[in-house]
Amino acid sequence: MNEEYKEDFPVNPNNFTDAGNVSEQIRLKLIEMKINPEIIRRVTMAVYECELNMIIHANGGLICAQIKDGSIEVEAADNGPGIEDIEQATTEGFTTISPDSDMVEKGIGKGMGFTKIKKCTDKFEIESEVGFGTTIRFGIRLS
Amino acid sequence: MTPSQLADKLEYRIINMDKTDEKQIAGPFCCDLLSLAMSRLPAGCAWVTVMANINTLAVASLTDAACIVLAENAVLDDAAVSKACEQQITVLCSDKPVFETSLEIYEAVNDKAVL
Repeated sequence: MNEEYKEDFPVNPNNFTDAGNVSEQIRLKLIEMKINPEIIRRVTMAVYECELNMIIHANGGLICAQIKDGSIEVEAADNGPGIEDIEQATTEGFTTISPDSDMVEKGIGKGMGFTKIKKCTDKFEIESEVGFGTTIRFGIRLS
Repeated sequence: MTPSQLADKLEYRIINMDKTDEKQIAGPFCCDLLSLAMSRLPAGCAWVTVMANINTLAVASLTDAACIVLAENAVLDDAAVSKACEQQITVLCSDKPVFETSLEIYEAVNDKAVL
């Protein structure tokens, strides 16, 4: 696979109407490249979780996607408050959303996106500084 | 069975129909939690839910669902209807609860009575 691709997608905060737009655009690109549907599904899920995190918790941000050397590499840098304890935030079941939050009413659930992203990806890293935001980087092999 | 054949057979209201109507329904899938649906929804299914909002449409599109079936006459708002038309997402509506709706879809798709 020699095709290369790079695109940046801004994500606006609190805009639930647009949730899924970035994942959809990347999904369509991968369909066009005839990538295996199971791999497309993993990429889509991981990007969607990043989008939701940015919309719900992190005051928006920027998602950069790049296809190179047979992999997709995604960097999602948010404008949020940062994470104090990354180990806790990436632990299965951890959430900062209270059960009576209107997120639950919207069907969004309790968050827990980091563990989901990790499960979908071949490479995952998270970098955060309190007061300056969080950057997630992940990679998925496309064949 | 395509979504229009399903709508016809089970007398579901059509909120929006994908013009191609070429997806084959593999079976029903029920879930109201969008993040769970995002990870579990099988491609080609008829997704039965009462969660009628614009994010439901995004998840259906991303997971390649054959159609959304809104149970309990759940109502999509205007913005969501516009998005369904724009993205060619089939949305049907049933007046029955989630379980009954899913059961009758299962029976229709498999052409056999379960109960």
